[in-house]
Amino acid sequence: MSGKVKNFKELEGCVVIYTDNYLNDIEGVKLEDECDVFLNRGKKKIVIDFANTELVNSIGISILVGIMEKVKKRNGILFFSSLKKVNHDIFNMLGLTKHISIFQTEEEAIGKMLAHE
Amino acid sequence: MDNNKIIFNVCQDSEFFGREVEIDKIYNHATSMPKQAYGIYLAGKRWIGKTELLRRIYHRLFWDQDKIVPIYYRFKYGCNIEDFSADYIMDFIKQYVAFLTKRPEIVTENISINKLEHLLEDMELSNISKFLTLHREGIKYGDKIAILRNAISAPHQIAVDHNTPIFLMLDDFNPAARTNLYKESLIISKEYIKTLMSGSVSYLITGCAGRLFEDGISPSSIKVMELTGLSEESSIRMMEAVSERYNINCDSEILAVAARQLDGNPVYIKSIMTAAKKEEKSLTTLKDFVDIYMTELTEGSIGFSLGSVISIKSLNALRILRACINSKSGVSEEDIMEKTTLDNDETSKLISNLCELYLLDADCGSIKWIGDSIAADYIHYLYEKEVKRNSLAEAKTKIAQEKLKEGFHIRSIKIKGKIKEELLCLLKKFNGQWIPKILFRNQDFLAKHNNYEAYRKEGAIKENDKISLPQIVGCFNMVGLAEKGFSIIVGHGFNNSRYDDENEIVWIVGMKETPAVVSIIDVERFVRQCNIITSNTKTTAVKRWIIAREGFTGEALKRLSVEAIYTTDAVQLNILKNIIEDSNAAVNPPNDMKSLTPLKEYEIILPMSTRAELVAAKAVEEIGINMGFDNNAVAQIKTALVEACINAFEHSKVKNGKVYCRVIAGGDRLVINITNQGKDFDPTFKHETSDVLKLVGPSNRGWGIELMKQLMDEVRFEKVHGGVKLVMTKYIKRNGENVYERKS
Repeated sequence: MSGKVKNFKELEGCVVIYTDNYLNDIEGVKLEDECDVFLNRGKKKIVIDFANTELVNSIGISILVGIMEKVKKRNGILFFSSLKKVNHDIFNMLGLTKHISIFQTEEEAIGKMLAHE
Repeated sequence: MDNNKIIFNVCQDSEFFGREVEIDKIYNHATSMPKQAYGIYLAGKRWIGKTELLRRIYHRLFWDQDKIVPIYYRFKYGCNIEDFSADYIMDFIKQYVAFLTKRPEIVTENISINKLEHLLEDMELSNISKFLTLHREGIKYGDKIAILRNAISAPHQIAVDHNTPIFLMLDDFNPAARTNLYKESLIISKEYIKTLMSGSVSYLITGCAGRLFEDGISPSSIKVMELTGLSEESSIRMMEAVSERYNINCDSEILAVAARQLDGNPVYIKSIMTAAKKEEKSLTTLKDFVDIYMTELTEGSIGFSLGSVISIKSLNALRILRACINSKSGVSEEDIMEKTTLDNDETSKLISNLCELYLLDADCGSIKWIGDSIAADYIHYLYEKEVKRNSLAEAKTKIAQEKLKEGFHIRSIKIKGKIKEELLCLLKKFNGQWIPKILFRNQDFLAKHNNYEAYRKEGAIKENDKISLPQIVGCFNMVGLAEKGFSIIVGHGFNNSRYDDENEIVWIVGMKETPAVVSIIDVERFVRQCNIITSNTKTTAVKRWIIAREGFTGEALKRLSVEAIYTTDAVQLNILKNIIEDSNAAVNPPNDMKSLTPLKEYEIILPMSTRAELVAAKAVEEIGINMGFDNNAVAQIKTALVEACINAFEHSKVKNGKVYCRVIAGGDRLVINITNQGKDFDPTFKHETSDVLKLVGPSNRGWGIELMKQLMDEVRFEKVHGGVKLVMTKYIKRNGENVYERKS
């Protein structure tokens, strides 16, 4: 792992990872590494919470796409939550929203995640 | 080209430019299968790219069609008949079989004669094997002519027997015919010509001479096609591609001069670029180029290559060559005898030898230089060193001075047209803008800012002392008054947007067209010319302005100051152009409604470091909020700006370069300009954004451009000197509506 994401919360059924204020190449790689660690430990239900993220650049988005594919390959579940309007719009423009469930709050995402069989 | 498809060595596709027309022409000729087979003689100077062209045509014929069998053979110097015949027959059969089976490895791998025979047996091509058997028998009995005829006739007989059209490409055929060092070469080429004239195959032969060799070939059976150097545009594209790969800092004007001075010869161009990379030098000034060129010519690979093919054994040879180079119309043998004190026979022999080297051509008693200009420089250099006994440094200096003068002249011609065109265009854009006065006062500008960077850092924003430009109605070039190196453009217009006699004004603009400073003589001449113009016009208000690309002498500046004539150099002009273009973009609303809010301009210079783009994003956030953009719009602007910055970083050619962000807050809109010190952004990348998951990898940078277009109201790329400027605009929307109806 190349570095640590600022924060994460490990729950019994899933894990929530909090992203940085600016999701660029460096932070994206850190996030991907963090997801890898949890996936390798058998944690297959991951929520990425973007409450702290104001800015996302295209490299950061590419890395998110990579994470989405990785989780899918490992038969995991990935949800996004707390996206700012601009970031939600960007994800929508690029077609990400067709492939991932996005929730308004972290709690909502966790609730859905835990209810998911 | 796919590496697996390469049969004969060719350069990388990214370094191959400007030969599309020739390739198509020859390919079409080869595949058109004319009823009467005839040949092409491809004539071109040494290293102009004939071999590369033929090999690329061969690859295309090999892979793109299956009717015509392409055969490529390059004649080697000094081969005896036995060696040539063995080499030729093997090459031909291998290429023939490789084409039929589409197995290039038969050509590229070193297959023995026995293995080739087995292969032919397996393919039931025993009638081809017979040529190998006959070759063996000829060797056994020492019958040179028989083995030569067997080898040469093989393609022709097979083409007839199998009814398979063949296209023969014979590289360096002409030198093989002319060389007198190896007597057998002449026998080979004579036999060959006889076979070619049979008309059973189409063929292409190459050579260095402009004229076809004398004996045997009927002029009606062969077309002459001359391969010249790359066009200036192709040469520049090639140099730009190589400089990008080698990370060489270049100026396009200097590349244009280099292209002309190197005769568009791809080998010389490549040598110069490789030398620049090796020496870690840039090509931004004429002197940079001439320094690299001189080192290459005297001590580098160009000198080495020329030395190996131009074998000069006597001082008299150098005297003859120099005399021919210096005479455009050619010299007579008598003139040469005078210069060399050689007798008739010796002179003839020496001239003949130099003709064999493709340096001279003797026709109707006149001997002319036919080598390229680089070879001419090489001869000059040898002459200075060997005949005049100058030291290496002296010889180099003399040639370098000549090259600089020549380059300077080429550049002057180019600049002349360019600056005039730019100025006419600029004057037409004068439309009442307020411009810092310092841009018309060269002395003050130099004292205060020294250069463009200093202006950006120190003065642009604080500059309060401004003048109002007129609205120019029309402008024209005063051809009648123009003197050598100095042009005059006159613009007629009105001040203060008031169309009455009081506000009518004439701007008289003098331009120094050559890359030289404006002297006191130029100023005096300009003043006289202005007097003539003003005496012929009713308008009393006249503004005089001199633009000098290379600046002014001190004496000239003093006089200009006394005369109250505006003075602008290239740096000032560039800033002025940017201001006018930016203000046109920002001030004039598309529906002609003018904002009354004054413009506020901010400049941010970003180093290429991690997260530097956030500094610009933070600044634009403040500006956007102050202007009244809502939070989401501010977030959109920030995201677009971040994308633009990382794009600019990514495409910067300069290590540790900087990215310049100029933010113009203009009432109803925010305009952001981004420029870097390097190559272009890539504005052409387009893809569907509907399903990003189809795209893989974090290197999909085209999304950035798409994002900017989606987030901003207008995104456009403008060509500027040294690259591209990205201009993005966001309009303030109130109550969900645009302030102005914008064109879609």
